[in-house]
Amino acid sequence: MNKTNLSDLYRRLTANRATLTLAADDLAAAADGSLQADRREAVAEALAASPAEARLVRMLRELKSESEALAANVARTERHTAHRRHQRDAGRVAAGRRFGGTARWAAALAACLVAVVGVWTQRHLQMSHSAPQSTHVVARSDVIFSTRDTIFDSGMDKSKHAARSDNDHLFRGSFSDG
Amino acid sequence: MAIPVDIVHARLEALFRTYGAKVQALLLTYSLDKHGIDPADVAQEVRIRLWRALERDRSGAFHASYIQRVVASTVIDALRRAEVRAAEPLPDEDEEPGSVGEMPIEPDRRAGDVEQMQGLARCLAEIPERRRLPITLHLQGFALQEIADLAGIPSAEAARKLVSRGLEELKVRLRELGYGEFDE
Repeated sequence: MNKTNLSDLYRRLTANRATLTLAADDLAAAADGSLQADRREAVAEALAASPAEARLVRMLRELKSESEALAANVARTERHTAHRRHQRDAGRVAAGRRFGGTARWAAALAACLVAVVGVWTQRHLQMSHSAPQSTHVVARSDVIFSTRDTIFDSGMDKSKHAARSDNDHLFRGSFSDG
Repeated sequence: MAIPVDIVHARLEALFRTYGAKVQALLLTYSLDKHGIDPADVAQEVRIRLWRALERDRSGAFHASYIQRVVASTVIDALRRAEVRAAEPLPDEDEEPGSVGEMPIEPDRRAGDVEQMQGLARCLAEIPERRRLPITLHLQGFALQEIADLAGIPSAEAARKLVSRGLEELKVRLRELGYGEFDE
């Protein structure tokens, strides 16, 4: 006598009336063995009544090692990318520093040059302005000298007059007395 | 030095392709294609969702548990779409409604099957709930450790005892009711 397979019969029974009731999180947790205690009974009953969800959980269990390998490989690839990106950025910074040093020297030299040119220009301008000033000074000096001359003149005149008058006076007096 | 974005992209593409192929193979191994889904479509959808997740948050951790959830949600979505399609009235009368979930059954077997299924449901209902859950999980194909984890049974050995006693009780009851002999 042929024996009926109990598992096949039960799966056909449940397939006919099964509905998908579990969320992806519950299914993943059931496969992972990390179901919360308060969800365990409901999830277990749902899995017992749904061949599709039961198969999916069993499939996820088998897929777990592949998922872990994928996560590790993706992380490694991403880390490698980040490392390359970091190296590239570091290279840019180093090049920037090198270029920055040259640029600083060039800027310093340019500043010196500008300062020299500025000083030279100012001096040149001062020199060009200083010509009429000296003329003015000479004129003033002349005035001073002429004043002094005047003073001397007047002084000289005075003494001349005084001496002459004194002399004259003396001579005149002596002459008149004698 | 050339920016290795293309190389990284190609490497990730290869990783996702390999993973997608594995998902597709497992969907066939676990007969999920018999629930009205196309394993190749599901595998492609898994790859797309993983790519999007990676692009969305490049710095975020791409954990195995997250990948598992992506697969679970993709398969569940596909199963729900298949369920809706199966529930919709088919224009072609030759198509057999209700056969989406399982292998087609010959008409002469169907009557006997329905009778046996009704008998099985009746006998299971008679078993106390504490023993019924491990039996039904076993009949759905879960291993003893998985049954212990899911049903909150302390050990696989305790689950084994519950399952073996419960199955024996079930077979005896089915025989008593005249449904014939059963194996596992």
